[in-house]
Amino acid sequence: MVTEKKNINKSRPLLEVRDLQTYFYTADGVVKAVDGVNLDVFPGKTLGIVGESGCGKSITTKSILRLIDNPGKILGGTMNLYDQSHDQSQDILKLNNQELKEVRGGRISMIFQEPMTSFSPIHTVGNQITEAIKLHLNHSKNEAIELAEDWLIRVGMSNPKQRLKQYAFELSGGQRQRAMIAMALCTNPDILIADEPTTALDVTTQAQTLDLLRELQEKNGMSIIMITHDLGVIAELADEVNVMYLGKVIESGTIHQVFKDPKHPYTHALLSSIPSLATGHRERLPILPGTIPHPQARPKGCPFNPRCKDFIEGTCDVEFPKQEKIEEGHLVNCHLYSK
Amino acid sequence: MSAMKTVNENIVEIKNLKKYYPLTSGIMKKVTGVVKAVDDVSFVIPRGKTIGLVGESGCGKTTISKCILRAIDPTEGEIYLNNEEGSYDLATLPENELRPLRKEMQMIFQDPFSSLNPRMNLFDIVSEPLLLNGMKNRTERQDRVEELLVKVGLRAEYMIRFPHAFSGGQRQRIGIARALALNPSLIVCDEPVSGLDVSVQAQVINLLMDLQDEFGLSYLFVSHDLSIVRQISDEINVMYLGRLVENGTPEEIFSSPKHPYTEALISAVPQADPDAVKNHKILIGEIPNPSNPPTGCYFHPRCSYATEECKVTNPKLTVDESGRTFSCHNAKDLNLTGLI
Repeated sequence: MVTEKKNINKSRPLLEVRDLQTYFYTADGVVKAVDGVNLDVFPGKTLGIVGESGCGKSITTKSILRLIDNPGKILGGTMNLYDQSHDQSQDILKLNNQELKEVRGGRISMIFQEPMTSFSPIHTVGNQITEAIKLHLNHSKNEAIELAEDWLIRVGMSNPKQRLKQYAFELSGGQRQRAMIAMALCTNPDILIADEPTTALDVTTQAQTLDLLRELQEKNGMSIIMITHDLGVIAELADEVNVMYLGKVIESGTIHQVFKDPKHPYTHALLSSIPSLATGHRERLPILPGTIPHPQARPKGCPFNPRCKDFIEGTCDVEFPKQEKIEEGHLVNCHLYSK
Repeated sequence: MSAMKTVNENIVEIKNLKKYYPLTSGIMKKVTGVVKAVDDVSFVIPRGKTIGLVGESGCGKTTISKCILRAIDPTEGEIYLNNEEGSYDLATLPENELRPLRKEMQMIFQDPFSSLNPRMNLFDIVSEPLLLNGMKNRTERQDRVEELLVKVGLRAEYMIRFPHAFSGGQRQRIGIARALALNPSLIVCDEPVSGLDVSVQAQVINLLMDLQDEFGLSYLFVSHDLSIVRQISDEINVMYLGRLVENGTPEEIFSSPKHPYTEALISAVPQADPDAVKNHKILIGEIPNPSNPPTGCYFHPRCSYATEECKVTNPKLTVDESGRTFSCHNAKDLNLTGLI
């Protein structure tokens, strides 16, 4: 049923986002929620996006699917989605409505944080899963039901036949998230966007869900964009990481480069502010002073400068640092590394 | 029971606490079953210490905290609060006698967005408990609120602002200031940092520890985040489906868990280290329906070590030779792995 992906060029990004800008025009002024974001999603790999709330990680992925509502607007940038079977790429920003429909839920699917609110309460789970299949795969009703059942088995649901006839509120949190994953993956997408998929779940259910995602990725070869503020979840799943702060990616690299040798003071502070195995009993963790500034009161220069311990006066508060390459694949925007 | 002696070293002693909710059906509200939200739980909170309470959602953590504060009435059991004047059984004390004791126990809530009244400014929020407890003089209240706000790391001039002007971390600080207003000796922290960003979590945890050192507070720290519980607690209680399954120091619990459920819980915690061994002991299934719990040990359907005995008899919470407390038939034969 699921066609194995073949002959993929692993080094060419499936999705290449360049200089993405999404601004919100509110009554109080312009909020630059995403301000020049670049990211690459490689086939079969997981890209993690981390950052505190309000850093623009969710808006970035919503922009990828062009799910930005008024007063938000995608101002500029390119988002090239590469089609391996036809060896051509298309810019998502230039697609018309019909083409966009094929990308949404077809080539790129999304799972959300709160599966309760993202399911329709008045349609059965089966109804909602088959709807996606009928829309994207041109299957007949019976074929669609069969495939939906098959996917429920694949995501580890017990009694799939019965589950199809149930409503979202009849399922537990973990089951709902499984159903959501089944719904997102039944069209066999190339990219799965997971927006805080485990934040509302217990640790045990979280471990089950992460395991399931990893297993499905191995089987299908899909790419995952994982958004979370939980650095542990990122370390579990991601191959590459982008760290965001106030609408900008300030550090990116492989999980090892970023987590083992963080270069940006923000990444460093974030990593040291969570308790680890080495944290002693009642030990005070180093804290990141202050909070994320109000989006309309964005500091000049590097947006992190008021909270930064390595702040250089006259430099950091004047200009946003250029991107510097630490080593192959490890990029950082910080004046400390300016050449 | 209330022995008049020098202050008991335990601020709270919980003995065989039970909280059952009847399940009714039909218009006659016939009782068809019972949910044992808390089933025969006993533990103590030593003065000046932090006791962690962990478990999956629905295991009864919050029910216990609410029983201690008598926000709900326990079905059975005793909850002793010990202070200089003596020992009081909170479970049975009538409301008029309970009232003066309430100021000794305060709570910090999970969601700083819904636990602060949006129509009250900071002064009103933090000073309300003072007013209710007889501090009629406004200047006096103002001084106290000022002192409290500074204590939790906020500025005194914020007093006239409303909660919407503050971030999640700042709101949690306001909640802490309100809890501290009456100089309590016990604070029940119900998931105090789970709604906060990681960088802010550390700020709040550090603040809680500083305040504990300064005022000699005792905490009951309810959380599902094991790494934070491990950092802050002096002792950890692990709960499953209304029952206590293991108790020990963080060191004991994390390096050599004795109950298979504790082992699974620890192994499920993701480590922010890409080199950490990703060898999770995935628990099959989910927490069973509490109105229809399994026979024998409640954990046996999800336990990979379960034997025939586990399906039949419920293991009692016992203390072994080395002083560890747990409820498992097979603990002796198992060599469970912790984190280290």
